[in-house]
Amino acid sequence: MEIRTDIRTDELADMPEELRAEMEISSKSRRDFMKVTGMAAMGAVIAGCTAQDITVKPMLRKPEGVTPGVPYEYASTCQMCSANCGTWMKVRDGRPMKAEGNRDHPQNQGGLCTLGQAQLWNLYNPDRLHGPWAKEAPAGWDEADARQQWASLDAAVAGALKAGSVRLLTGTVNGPAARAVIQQFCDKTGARHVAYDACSAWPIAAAHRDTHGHARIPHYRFDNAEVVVSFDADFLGNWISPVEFARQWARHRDLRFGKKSMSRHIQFESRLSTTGACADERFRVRNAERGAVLTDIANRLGGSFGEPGKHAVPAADIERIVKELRTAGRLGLVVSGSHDVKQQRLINWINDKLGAYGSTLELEPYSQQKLGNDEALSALLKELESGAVKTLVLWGVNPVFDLPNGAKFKELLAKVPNKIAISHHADETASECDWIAAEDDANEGWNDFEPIRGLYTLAQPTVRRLWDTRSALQSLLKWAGDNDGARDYRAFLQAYWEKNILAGMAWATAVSLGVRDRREPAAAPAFKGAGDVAGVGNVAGGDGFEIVTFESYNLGDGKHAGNGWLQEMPDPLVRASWTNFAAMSPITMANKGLEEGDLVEVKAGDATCKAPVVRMPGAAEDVVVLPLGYGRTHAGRIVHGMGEESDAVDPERKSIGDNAYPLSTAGFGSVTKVGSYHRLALIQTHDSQEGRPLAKDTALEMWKQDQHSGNHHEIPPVDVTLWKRWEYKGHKWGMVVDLNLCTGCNACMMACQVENNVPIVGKDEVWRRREMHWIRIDRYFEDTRGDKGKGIQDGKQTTLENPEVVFQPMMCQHCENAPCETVCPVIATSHSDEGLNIQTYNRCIGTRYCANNCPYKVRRFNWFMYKHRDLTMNLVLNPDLTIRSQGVMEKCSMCAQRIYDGKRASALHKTKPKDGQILTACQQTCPTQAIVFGDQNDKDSVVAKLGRDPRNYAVIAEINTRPAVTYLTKVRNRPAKPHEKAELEKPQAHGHDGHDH
Amino acid sequence: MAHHYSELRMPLVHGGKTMHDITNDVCGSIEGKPSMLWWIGWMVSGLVALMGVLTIGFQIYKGIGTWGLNKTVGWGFDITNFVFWIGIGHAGTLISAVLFLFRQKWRTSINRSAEAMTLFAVMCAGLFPLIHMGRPWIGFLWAAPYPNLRGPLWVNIRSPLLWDVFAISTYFSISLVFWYIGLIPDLATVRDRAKHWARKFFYGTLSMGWRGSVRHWNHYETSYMIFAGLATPLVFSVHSIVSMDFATSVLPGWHTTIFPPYFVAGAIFSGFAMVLTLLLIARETMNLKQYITEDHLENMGKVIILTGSMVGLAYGTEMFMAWYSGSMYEQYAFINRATGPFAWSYWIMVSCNVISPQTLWFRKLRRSPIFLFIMSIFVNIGMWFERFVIIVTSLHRDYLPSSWAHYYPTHVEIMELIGSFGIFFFLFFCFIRLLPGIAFGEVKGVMKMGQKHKHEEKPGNDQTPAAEVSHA
Repeated sequence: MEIRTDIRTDELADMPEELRAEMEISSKSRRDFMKVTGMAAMGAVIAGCTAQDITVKPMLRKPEGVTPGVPYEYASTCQMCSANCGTWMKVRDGRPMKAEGNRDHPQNQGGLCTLGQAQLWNLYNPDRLHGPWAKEAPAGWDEADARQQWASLDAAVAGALKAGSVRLLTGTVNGPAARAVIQQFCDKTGARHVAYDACSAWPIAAAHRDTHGHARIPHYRFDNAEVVVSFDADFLGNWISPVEFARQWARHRDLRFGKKSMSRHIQFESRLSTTGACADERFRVRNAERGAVLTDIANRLGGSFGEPGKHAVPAADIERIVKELRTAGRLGLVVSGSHDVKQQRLINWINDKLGAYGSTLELEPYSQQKLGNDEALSALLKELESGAVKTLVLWGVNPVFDLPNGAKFKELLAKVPNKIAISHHADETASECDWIAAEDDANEGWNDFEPIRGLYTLAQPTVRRLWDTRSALQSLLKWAGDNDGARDYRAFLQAYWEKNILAGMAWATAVSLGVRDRREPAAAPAFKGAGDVAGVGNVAGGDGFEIVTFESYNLGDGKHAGNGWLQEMPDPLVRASWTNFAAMSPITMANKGLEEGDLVEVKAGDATCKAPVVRMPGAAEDVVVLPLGYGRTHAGRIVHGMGEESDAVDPERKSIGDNAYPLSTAGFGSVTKVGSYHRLALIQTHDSQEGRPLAKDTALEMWKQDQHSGNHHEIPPVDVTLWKRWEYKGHKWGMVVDLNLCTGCNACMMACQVENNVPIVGKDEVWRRREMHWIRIDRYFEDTRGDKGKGIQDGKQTTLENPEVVFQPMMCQHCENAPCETVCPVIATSHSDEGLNIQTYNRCIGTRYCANNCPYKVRRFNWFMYKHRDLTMNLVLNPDLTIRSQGVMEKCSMCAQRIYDGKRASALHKTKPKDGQILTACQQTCPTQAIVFGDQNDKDSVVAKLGRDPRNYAVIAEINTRPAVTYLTKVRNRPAKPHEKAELEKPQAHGHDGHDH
Repeated sequence: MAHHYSELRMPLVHGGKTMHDITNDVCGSIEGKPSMLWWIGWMVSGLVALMGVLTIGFQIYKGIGTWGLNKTVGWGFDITNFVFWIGIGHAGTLISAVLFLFRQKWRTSINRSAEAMTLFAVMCAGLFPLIHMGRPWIGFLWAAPYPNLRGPLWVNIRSPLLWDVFAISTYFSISLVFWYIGLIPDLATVRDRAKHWARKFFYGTLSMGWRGSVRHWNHYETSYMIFAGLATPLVFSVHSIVSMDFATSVLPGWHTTIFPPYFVAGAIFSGFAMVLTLLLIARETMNLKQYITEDHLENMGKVIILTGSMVGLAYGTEMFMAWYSGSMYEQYAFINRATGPFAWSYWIMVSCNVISPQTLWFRKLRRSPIFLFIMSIFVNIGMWFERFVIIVTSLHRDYLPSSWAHYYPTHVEIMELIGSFGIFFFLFFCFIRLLPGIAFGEVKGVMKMGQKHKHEEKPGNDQTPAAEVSHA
């Protein structure tokens, strides 16, 4: 965006009141009102881009090109994890309301994950620090204004930095200008910079240092891979750059538009991950046996790495997979999330053997998404222990919480004379420091990133600072003595970019695009040999359970524990929200006499973690799976109140769940039942489809012979009606969801929640099964033997060892013959002439009859008045939608507001919206583009084409609801099973779902 | 004098009462001081009713979330209670109207209280659809088709809930008028016996100038007959329409054409059980054994065994149809009823409604007040569970297993259920204190002495109802 510093405005935080006040004052003239609000709005937008201490005053004329109430999108960069995807921040009247993936960004191409979608909670979170914080406030601190407080903090920090022996501990910092700032800070203060990631990928970099001479994480290219073999690498979940990987992976899984082949995806893993759930074949391998399997494969590929230990995978399967890898050659890819450097070296050897380097994974340009260095961290811990560090500056990290020996770190930290934190919150670590330089939210300041070498991205402020915070880079520059840079970081950034990065591109262009792609082909380092892999094939022994920890899908590494939206998101596989869990295979549970909901203590040495047991069919036996990120004690009121609808905070409730980090390196430990867990908030309690044709699947082999495979209707719908069917003359909106591409990542749920002002309800309410999500992702387990999950009962043990998983996004199906519409006594739900099922909140009296009669159970009732406890959170509300009151039914509207926007925009040009112009929130964010929305009446639209796809079907079509949302059968790239073949031999009519295709 | 008549036909009133005795017996209970038992009953039921009303207020203020319902189970205790009370409300009209049309003279001593029970039950029933709405403060108005200025904003004539609104309000108004017309001659008697001016005014107003002339009696009999005729189809239509709340849906377990007759039979079944419960209490506590005789009890027992068997047949038919339909959803819904997490409620229902009434094939048991009382309680419980089973077990596991959920009622729901009984009994206690609990005008008409009098053609005797009035 173009920056106009001449525009002034009032405080943004006052905007809503301002608008209201103006409305009253100038009600005499709508024109006056529009003028004033226009100025205020524009000013607020622009003010976000200006430095902190510029005074702002209302404008007298409406700035050109800015209309109040019309949203603008600003390119920025997502900072929820270090993948640093490109975003477009939708800003309206000076406040960001929605994060969307930047469609022009080469990395995520419009997709965004759950975390990225939820970033606005972090921005408006009233529990953020509102200004600088001092552990022992100096005299007069409380009376001082923010500027004075900052001054005294800066003075104190300057003194501390003079003490020498300064260490700067951060997370991944990959922005070139940001790194220049750190360099400047280090040069000035003599500090040493150490970066670490709580969920680290360092072993990959370390292995490449040994095998290729550079400590680099390769840039993976799943889009080039025909055969992917993954060892515990959750690349569709949250491994390194999940959105990018998911989109790449989907390219070869997409069977729409006449494609006939798909890639092979084989997963070896100890727990059931979303990636494993999407794999064609999946093997349960305990972490301890992973090295043995790897060695087995490497040996069969021509290596000699010693005799592999005993492992659970049958030799025939290994041989088959090796053959597939050999055939794939350079189109094969082996990845691993292993923390064992030797195993990673072996992975490198295999990839090199396949010729995959330069094809399915690249060392040039390489990934800079996880720059943490575990070895540097260990060195720092030793220094801390020896007392060599006089001043420790921590930025954006929480080692007291997320190091395996966090308690130890806390002790060491206490011994450091000067400790300064740069943080959003007084978290577990920052609250132990002397000072906290309150950090801006990611949406409040300028920043830059380089997630992939040569791919530069910018983050720009999309809102004026809500409180008296300061960007970390400004703080560091200030402490490095660069007052100009500290005052106006944008100028610093612009100067740096113009000098080093833009290479001829105008600054304004770079800001508006958000990305400068200067990736160039370069000679990649060559493979030098596997190095030391002695004993990699040994199977580690241990007593009791193998403890497997993983980065939680919702909370990141724990940073986002204060985010209510994320806390309420269910885990994609075990479907639990508002809690950590000890997941294990149902067979293990049966053997150990445990039941779902038992509270167990997982113990290894001194480290313990209490968590309720949940079932995870598909986990290896005798493995207990713990998510990391829960157990934050200093993450704001969300973790104390469990998101409940009252201000009452339970003082007994110190955190949500227990911290599993202390167990993350334990390996083996014990599991003891210590009680039963109160109200386990599961969003789904029944795992089986009960043989019902809801989420249909087939095997690729079958599908190639019969495109209707897996999609034969046993009972075709009978369409009997007394009336003439309504003729949709204009649009007829519809949606097609490809089950083959859905990875169950929950991004659509979060996008919908943010877009549609969907409230969170808290743990007890989720336990009561009252979550409000308009779209949910149903997860069904199917027995690999083909019997569709028979024998799984609610809460009971199951015999499922290694189930096949299918994810099915389920939202309002917008039925043409909607059961909900006929039963409402007051016509609060009705059908639009464009095929949408419309809910009229004002008219609804809340009989819940519609919800009862909905066969898809997608209607959501406002059981209470779900309002934000702090009015600041109201800033996130989308003004295009009504806030639903207590006692009213709500549900997916297919983003009606976006449809109206699209139609309005086209109406200006007297045209109809083009196909693909209107995107629903779920569709827009889907990393794999599994969701397609459009006009079924337009015969050339993607939706209409997919409606004619033989894989297309409507869920429970036989009751003749005629849904506007249809699904495409999931196709698994594995050999057909006997029962599937039997289906093929049965002659059956291709009963379609009753659509007029 | 009874020996002048057929010895085969048992007298309907025992104890050799004269007409004056009857007047004294019935009016005495509302003229003298109430008994201690009445005070206790009135106060306890009043407190329970108050608790219910306060709970309802709390629930409306806080939201439906105070109940245990969820996204899958949208109706629970609320609609269960509604259908239960509507069912209770069926016996009164059936006894007054249908039995009247069929000339079942034994009805006279129980019809008044049965009708009152109907009205109070329908009031309790009507309460639940009102408070089950998320926004009752507008819902009660918007569910009615009234002319408004909001454009063509109208009710949805396709919605069974709207049919309920019409069916129940019609049933309530007809029942009220029918009951009131029947009350008028008795009220006039009470008026004529009144000493205090306030009583005179109160009962005088209510009796609408009844003088007991032949013309009055003629009009009375005609209108009573007309209203009986009007009320009779309602007995069958109301519960048929209530059943359509379920039958017209797409839900397995609800979507069943058998529902209208099945619900009507169930309603009569539960209604008679409730009448039996109340009468057995009244009979003991208010010394009405001569009016509510064992013959009455036996007749009621026969109705219960008939309707109970019909209900049992309906359960069986449902099961058969689920299997015969070949629909996996339908089949699962019924297997789940009998074996799922709510199987306990299904088996309570079957044992109370199908098995326990079969004991009434024995005449001895049909004539045993204590046994009948226990049985009637069983049937009441069973019929409440029938509605619970239909509503909750069908909802909690329907088409998509991903949404299957359990339902845990909260104390608010339980208190409102108990509160509705409080309201019901409180109104009933008020009724027996304020209004003649037995239609003595009609009872006198079925007494043998009255008939003898007519045959012996001795007019002017003070034993005719009209003369009774003038005499007093």
